[in-house]
Amino acid sequence: MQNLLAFFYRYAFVFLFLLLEFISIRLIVNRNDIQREIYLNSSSILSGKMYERIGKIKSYFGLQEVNDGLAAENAALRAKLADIQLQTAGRVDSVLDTTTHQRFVLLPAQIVNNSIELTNNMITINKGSLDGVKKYSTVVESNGIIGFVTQVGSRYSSIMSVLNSNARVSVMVKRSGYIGNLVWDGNSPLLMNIEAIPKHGNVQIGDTIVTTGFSHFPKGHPVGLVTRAFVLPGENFYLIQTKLFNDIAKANYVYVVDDLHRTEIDSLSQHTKE
Amino acid sequence: MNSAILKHILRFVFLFLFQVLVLKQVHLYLGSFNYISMIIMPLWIILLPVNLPRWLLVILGFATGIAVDWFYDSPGVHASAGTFLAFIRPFILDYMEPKGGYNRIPIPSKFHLGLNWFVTYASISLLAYLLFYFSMEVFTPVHTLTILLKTIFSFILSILLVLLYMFIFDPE
Repeated sequence: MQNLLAFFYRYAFVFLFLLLEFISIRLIVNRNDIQREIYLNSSSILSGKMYERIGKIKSYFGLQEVNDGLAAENAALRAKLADIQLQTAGRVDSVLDTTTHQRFVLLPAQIVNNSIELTNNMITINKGSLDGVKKYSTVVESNGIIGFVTQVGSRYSSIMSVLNSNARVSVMVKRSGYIGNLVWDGNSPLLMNIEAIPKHGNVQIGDTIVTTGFSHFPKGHPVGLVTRAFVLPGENFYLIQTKLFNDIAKANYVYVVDDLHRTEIDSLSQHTKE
Repeated sequence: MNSAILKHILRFVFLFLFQVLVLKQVHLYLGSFNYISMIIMPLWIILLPVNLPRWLLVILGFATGIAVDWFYDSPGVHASAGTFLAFIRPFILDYMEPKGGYNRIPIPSKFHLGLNWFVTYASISLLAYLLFYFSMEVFTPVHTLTILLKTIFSFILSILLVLLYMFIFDPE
């Protein structure tokens, strides 16, 4: 006992040093914006780099699947391109087309860190403000949705996965057009629930769910298929379970979607609120 | 009050005012080369009595840093560096112990231990302080080059100031 006390007395300055350093770092993190940003940003440079290395190794294992997915996407895009070329083939002169505007800009990115086992899952991608990623942009995959950008570092960004209890995505039943909210109950990463579709919505098993464009996801982007749909007695809304088209656990190549109309839409809804 | 303690307090006040009222206002640029800041406050920690208990030294280092942080608007950055310097100072002193030991040497200054000894001692201490300070300021080991450049360029000017102080006041 005496030895122990002597030990503590002798090394008191070491503990004091560690304590004061801890206080200093707490101060730095709490009150300096720049450092806080760096500290909070799990996507920030160091961890991002590390995650990217691990991700690179991991991505070799899923190469076949990624290839298939990209090939399928290519094919779909080529089919669309053929449509466009057919439409414009008859044109002799170029026309300034003011009836259509581009609303969404897509930026390819790769996931370097991902989780699905938590209640509030976050994802890190290898694109940041230097690449033009903006806060609150949405992130999609060719066959499904991924999440929202919540923190933008210079080279990496943090994304709130849709597999996060705080995430709400506006979706609709493609066939009937009824609108609801996509939420996650924290269980299976393949299944999500849809809330707030009224009971006269006539949802059937096998219906396709797509995005509405209200949550700044591109309109009509595929989300999943309805696997269960029923109304509890006395309730007014459907309980709907949907199976996602994409497996977020395996997601690798994603697109960051910048909504060019965001400011306008948000300022309008701001006015409505006031 | 003990005159030795009074001297330390006066030195603190002088260095502190010089640091926050003069050196903080000086912005040195070489084109876009923004790596230079002059920091003299560690000199106070460097010149504290040799036989000060280590725990007190660490507390004083922290306090010095916090005081500077107050004016530099950078809570915790100087404090962590000051604590660090105070923590390693006894090790530096042990390492550089002269033949006769530190008996009858109140403070580790040029007056008592000679110019060569003091320059080495002050350089090691100042480098440790600045390296820690800029590491905390930049706060990520990714920008190691920036940290090193800032440390080196700030060290050159700061050590000149420290030596200037030693030649003008030559504290006993």
